[in-house]
Amino acid sequence: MNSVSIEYSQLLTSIQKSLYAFILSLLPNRSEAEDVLQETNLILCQKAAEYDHNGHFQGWAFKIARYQVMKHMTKRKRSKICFSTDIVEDVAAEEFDSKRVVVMQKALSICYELLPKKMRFIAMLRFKKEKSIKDISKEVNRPMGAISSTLYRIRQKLLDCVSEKLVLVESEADFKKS
Amino acid sequence: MKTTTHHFDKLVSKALDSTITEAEGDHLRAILKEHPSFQKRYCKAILIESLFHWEEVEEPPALDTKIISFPYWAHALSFAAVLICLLSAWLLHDTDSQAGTHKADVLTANLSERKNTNFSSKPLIKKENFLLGESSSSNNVINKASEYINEFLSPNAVNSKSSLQFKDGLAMISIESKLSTSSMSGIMPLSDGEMMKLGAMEINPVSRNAEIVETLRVYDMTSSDQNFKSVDAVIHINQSFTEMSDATEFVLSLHALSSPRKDSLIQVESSSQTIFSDNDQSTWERVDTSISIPRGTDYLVVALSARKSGPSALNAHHQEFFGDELDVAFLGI
Repeated sequence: MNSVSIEYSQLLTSIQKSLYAFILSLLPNRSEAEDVLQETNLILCQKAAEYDHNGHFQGWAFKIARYQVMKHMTKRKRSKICFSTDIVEDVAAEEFDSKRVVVMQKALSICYELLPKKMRFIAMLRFKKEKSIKDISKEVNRPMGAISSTLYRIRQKLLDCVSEKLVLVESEADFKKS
Repeated sequence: MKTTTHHFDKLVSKALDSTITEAEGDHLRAILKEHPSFQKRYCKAILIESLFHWEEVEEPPALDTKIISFPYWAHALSFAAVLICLLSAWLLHDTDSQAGTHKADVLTANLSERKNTNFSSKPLIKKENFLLGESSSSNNVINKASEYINEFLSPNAVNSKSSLQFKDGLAMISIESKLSTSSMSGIMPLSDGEMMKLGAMEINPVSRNAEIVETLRVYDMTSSDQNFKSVDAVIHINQSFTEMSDATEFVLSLHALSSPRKDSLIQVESSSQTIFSDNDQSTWERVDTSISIPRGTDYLVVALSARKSGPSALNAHHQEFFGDELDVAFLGI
């Protein structure tokens, strides 16, 4: 394996969340997105010497990730859904920027705590423990349809809350900088 | 079909849970291609979903969980980066994420089957046996709930406006089909071509108030062995356009009723959420509420009311009020 500089390793680490989000946007299945993230990281390590330090690291990494997604789709041929990259790429570059990711994470942690207790429990099972709908349904003894509905409502609540809190978190960050 | 945020969010949620069908996937793809505003919303939703991937779990992960070693990245950046590059083997897990589509087990009972429900074993409710002191809206709801239950129990139940169904293991009386309508007054249903139209408001010209209360569902909580602890309800609301008025107050409410003397109903718990609908027919507003179900609850009632006050109340008959996509979810935790 090629050796990589500490600087490159730091760049790579700083972009992990953006990279995973980008891959997930093209391939909205967590398990497959994780597989592609691992493959992408290996390629990024192998190609460390090819990286142009004057270039934009995120853009370069996203290009490699995009190619890995396409390769994964060709290999697997079983995912129900995969988006062609040109659909979301323009927006993704801005939305998944690592600085924006940090702000979003802060807003999300506020909003997660604001979820009603029972919704937070289901959210924990699905989002943090990554349990399937089937397993959650068995654990809480409710039909799978009801779990899907609850997850939809949780996602909506979080999305609306995060959009609201983003402004506050961003202005707090600006205030601290100044 | 015009895409609403609600419909879009539902498709995205299904995609993330791997319950989306191929046709729905194509539809989602088409929406993203044609609407840049939805692209942004999509990316936000994905980012939120993805950020949970990096959260620490409250208890140790199960043995079959994939382990990706990204430890405390804020505190050990260099170590994490080197780890990524040096690791040559990953533990993979075999996720079983085939949720597929799941149909709610709704059965419409015919007359002979209805005798198997607990509704049929209860005596008729006497209207006067309500707990006094409740708000007039709550009394309205309880009043109508008892009417539907009695109506269903009566010998002429075949003409009943309500229908008995079994959903999520609970017997339920619903009047949604009675209120059902296709698109009208310039308003399109949210997804399946049907929506509910509330009855005409009752106008009180003296107090200058107008209101309609619709008791949408009555669940028989004793019809299931499951010990439900709480319930969430969500509905979308809309109103027809009028130049003579603007906002209407909609209230989604849940009422836990007990029948201590077997022929009477008292309200033991209730919750409600109010929202004001704008005068834009193209958008549906969403309102949700939840309630803890007290021990001893015999019936759980879901109601939707629409209210106006002031001068606009006097013109309430010029408008129509709608609800759609009522979703009620019982939690056993």
